[in-house]
Amino acid sequence: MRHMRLGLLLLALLLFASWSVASCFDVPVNAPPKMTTEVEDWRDEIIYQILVDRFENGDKNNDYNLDLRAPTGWHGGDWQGIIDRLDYIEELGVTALWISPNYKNVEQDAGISGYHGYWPQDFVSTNPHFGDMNKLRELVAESHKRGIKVIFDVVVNHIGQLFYYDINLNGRPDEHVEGSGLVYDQYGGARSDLVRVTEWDPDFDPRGIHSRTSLGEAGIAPIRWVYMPEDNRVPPMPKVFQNDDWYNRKGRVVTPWGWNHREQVVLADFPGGLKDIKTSLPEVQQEMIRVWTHWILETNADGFRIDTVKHVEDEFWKVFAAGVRKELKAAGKNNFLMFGEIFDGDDALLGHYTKDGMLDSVFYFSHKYQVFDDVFKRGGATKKIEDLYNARQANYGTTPHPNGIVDANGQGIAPTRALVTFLDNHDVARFLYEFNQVEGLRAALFYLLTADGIPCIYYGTEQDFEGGNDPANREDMWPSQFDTSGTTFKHVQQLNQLRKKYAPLRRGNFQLRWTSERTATEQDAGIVAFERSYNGESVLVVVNAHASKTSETSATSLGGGGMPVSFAPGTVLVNVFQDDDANKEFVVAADGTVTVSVKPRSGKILVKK
Amino acid sequence: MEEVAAEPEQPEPAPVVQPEPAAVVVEPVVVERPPLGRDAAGPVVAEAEAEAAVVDEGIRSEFIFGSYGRVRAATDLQGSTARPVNVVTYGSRIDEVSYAELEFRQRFLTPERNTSTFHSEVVATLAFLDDFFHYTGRFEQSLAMRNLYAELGWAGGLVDVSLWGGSRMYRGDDVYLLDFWPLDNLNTVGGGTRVAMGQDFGRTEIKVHAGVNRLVDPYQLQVVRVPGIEFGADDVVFLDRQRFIVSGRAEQQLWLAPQGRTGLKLAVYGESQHLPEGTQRLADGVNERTVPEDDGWLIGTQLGFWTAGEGLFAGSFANLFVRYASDLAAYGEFGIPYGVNLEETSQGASELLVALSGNLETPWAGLLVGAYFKDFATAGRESTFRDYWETIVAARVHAYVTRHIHPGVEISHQVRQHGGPFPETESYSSPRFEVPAVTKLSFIQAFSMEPSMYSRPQLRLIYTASMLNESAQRSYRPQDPRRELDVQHYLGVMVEWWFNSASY
Repeated sequence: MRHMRLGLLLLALLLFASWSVASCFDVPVNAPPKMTTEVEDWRDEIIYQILVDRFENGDKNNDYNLDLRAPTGWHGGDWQGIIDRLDYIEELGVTALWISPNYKNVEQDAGISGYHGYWPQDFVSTNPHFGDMNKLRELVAESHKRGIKVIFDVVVNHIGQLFYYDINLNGRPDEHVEGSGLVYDQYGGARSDLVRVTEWDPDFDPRGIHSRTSLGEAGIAPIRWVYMPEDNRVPPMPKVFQNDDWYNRKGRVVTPWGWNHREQVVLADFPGGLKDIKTSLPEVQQEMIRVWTHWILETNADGFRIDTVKHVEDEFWKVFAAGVRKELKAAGKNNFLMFGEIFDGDDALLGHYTKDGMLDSVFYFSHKYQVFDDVFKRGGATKKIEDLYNARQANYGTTPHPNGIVDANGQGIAPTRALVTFLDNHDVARFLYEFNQVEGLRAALFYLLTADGIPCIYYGTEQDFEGGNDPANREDMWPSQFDTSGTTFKHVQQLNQLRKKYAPLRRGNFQLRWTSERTATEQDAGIVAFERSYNGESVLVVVNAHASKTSETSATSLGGGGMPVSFAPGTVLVNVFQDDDANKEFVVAADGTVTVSVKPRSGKILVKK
Repeated sequence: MEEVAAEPEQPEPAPVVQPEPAAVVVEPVVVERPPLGRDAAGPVVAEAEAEAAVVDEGIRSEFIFGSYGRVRAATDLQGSTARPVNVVTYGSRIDEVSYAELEFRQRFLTPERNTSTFHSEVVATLAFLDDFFHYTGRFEQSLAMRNLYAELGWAGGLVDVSLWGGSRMYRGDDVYLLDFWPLDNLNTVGGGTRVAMGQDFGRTEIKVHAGVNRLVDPYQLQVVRVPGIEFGADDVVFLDRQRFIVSGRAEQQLWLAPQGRTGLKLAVYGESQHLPEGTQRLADGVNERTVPEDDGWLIGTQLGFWTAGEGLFAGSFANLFVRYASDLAAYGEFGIPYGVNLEETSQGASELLVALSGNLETPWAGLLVGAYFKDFATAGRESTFRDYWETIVAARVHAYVTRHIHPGVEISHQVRQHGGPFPETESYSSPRFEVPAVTKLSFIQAFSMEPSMYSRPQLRLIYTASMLNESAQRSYRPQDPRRELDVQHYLGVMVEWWFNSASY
């Protein structure tokens, strides 16, 4: 009997202990973090774009379906890899990370993997290749500890290729060729045109894709959801997205001319069979606000980079941007940046999306084409920089958006002052691919990191990556061994440090002091100079984009004058950018001008001594 | 000849070795439960390869090995394997394929106390079908677990009660010549009970059973591939519909001679099946449909006569079976309903079956007969090719030339009439109703231990000519060379045995 009592007592203790231990571990380790506002002024930030799959593999447990030989395969990078390399990122001096889309993507389609993240399948689940929600929270939290912000990539325009158009009404996806391509002379040159018909990706039809049989058209073609779980090609989630009416169903944009056809740009499927979501529907707009704010509320991230903006109606952006700002502000997240990708060189078109309550900023493609490509790569006149800048006030929003981004004083920042500038990204060939001179790259970086805007550096730029167009420009980062001793790395690092040190380089106004029409051997060929002032402090930046010639900020030899600056005559300006040029100090002349000579492909940052 | 219609597949049945109880007198083949009270005429416990051992204070333990088997080697005289030729569901077994069961049982028995005993046994029956290694050259085998159950029982006085649970084939008397159990034949996982009571004039037995199956068919089981929690795909059991089956059987024996050496028996059998509603994922992987619930019932009766012991006709018997099945039960417990109604259920399907089995034994010769008539209607609104009636009559006679040499002849005729035109030969203006028929004539030279139709082991040399009418030939696909043959030959040797194998 005693043994029985003892046994019962031990059993009771064991049960209590189990309950206690379970209770101890029942802490909300998975709870979303408290919302905090991490950004004082977005213009202080230097964005570092990371293609997660290619940056660093920090967790072998999520290595699935990897094929490192295939540039379009999964390569194993993940959020833990970024966490592991935060020291490197911090050492480089960048202050914000823009990472690949977080959601669960189509695994692969037509032999190409969805490593890039732009084939949404489940808008609210994490991409298991990258990690889980806890890991994403950890990435954001660890970044915040270092003063680094995190920007998520947003797709609202489309889903992956998750349905096909059942044009011939046989319930399965077909692809066939019609016609013979022959010309019949005996019938007056009648043609039998050769037409490829694919139910996955039919050409745009403004009426909607029609079904047709041998007897002719038979009405709007039904769409059929595909079910290939091995490839995660299954109907989209959340389940509300499985509504046929939530898609425009007009077929794929007919490239290349269709890109100039506004209706196709907005309503057509994206090449690759990415099905266009009917973003004009109010219920779709509200659902998009819900799913995308969900990511921020779950992680406390700081901004959105938004994909394929021009392929969505203006009305959507007005509702979406206002809705996101309102939801996040209510949750305690302020100064939330939303900048969009309008993959287009049309400056006015880019600017359009920064007006009327739409986006805080855009990816400044016109600047990439006209400044970095035309001037820094191809040796074009720096006058182009001035021309583009002069168009900014007209083309971009000049007033801050309600609940939009603000400066340190809480004053709204207009889109004209917050454009995201960049040399290259994952959709275009790297700078060095088209212009394989690292000095040119460094000069461009010099301008990028000192001129007006929020600079964005594509990962690997600091390691002199030189990949061509997609996917060659999406190199694995790890072969670089994250070397911090390279010249370009040091170059970027120093510029970032100076940008951090001198507030005018971040927040200051932008006054172009010198540009030139000349590109040959003239005195000022290749020179661009600007002054930036903030809170009474000014910085003069002079960059020489010329490939081979030392130039200066003067046209006296051409019958012109010198470069006027705001500094008082007699002011000694010293170059704070450390380089091998012994010529470090410049004095403002009595006429208020200063002549600064700069070696080819280099620049100077001059401050009052 | 294979079935033309998609008849629900029958499990390969094990043979009934004794038309109860007559056969037990003929051959000590059945290891039976302990004797029931004064039921001295009950089945005799075989002196099998039982190894008795004392387990614990008087509990006796026996291991018993039993087996049923038939193995044949046969040619069609054209250099190919001779295959069964039938147009009805249960044709003559003269040309059927090889099959074997190995049965293992362990029995425990308490000593008798106050005229009562407890007993239990565990039974495992492994069954092997046809594709034996020495014929196929493939070191693999189709096998099934036909029994795996345990039974516990108590016997005392005039009453014998037992309970069982497990996986079991559960059935009554057969028509040997057709390898067919016309009244009750269930294969389920479940349990049941049996109560038997002895009287001066006979014996009463009541059996009740409940069991389930969940066939590997999209009708009852559907496993769908879904995206994995993280990567790849996982299998998820999406549809899992158990078929719930309840059966009951009551049998009354009336003994016309002492100790039941001659007697009559009347059995009544009933069965109910139920399938719950389920949701099935369609082939597109996205859409779903509701599979409606379904049920059915079956009722039947058996009237039997036997004479055993000694005498001119000792070992003779006759059994008449009548059965009617409705709705789901008309398809059998392994059947997937076809020809369903507008609600996609089997409601409206029916099966009427009348069968006869008999054996006439004399000291000089024996005569076995088997026959049945079956009328089957699907639940569809129209009478189609899927609806049919069919019948077969078979008779086998052996002359006991010597104690061990028994030449014989078997003749059978089978015919099926479909309810609608045969799809291959139908014409819009004059639909053609095919009536396939097969007549088989067999010559048998049998060798066995005793002069009895049920003496086993038995070795037979067999020649069979199966004569097909044109309709029967057309029931082969056009690409099948047998379609051209109005006579198919079978020449072979078959051995058949059974001992200690009667766990039904």
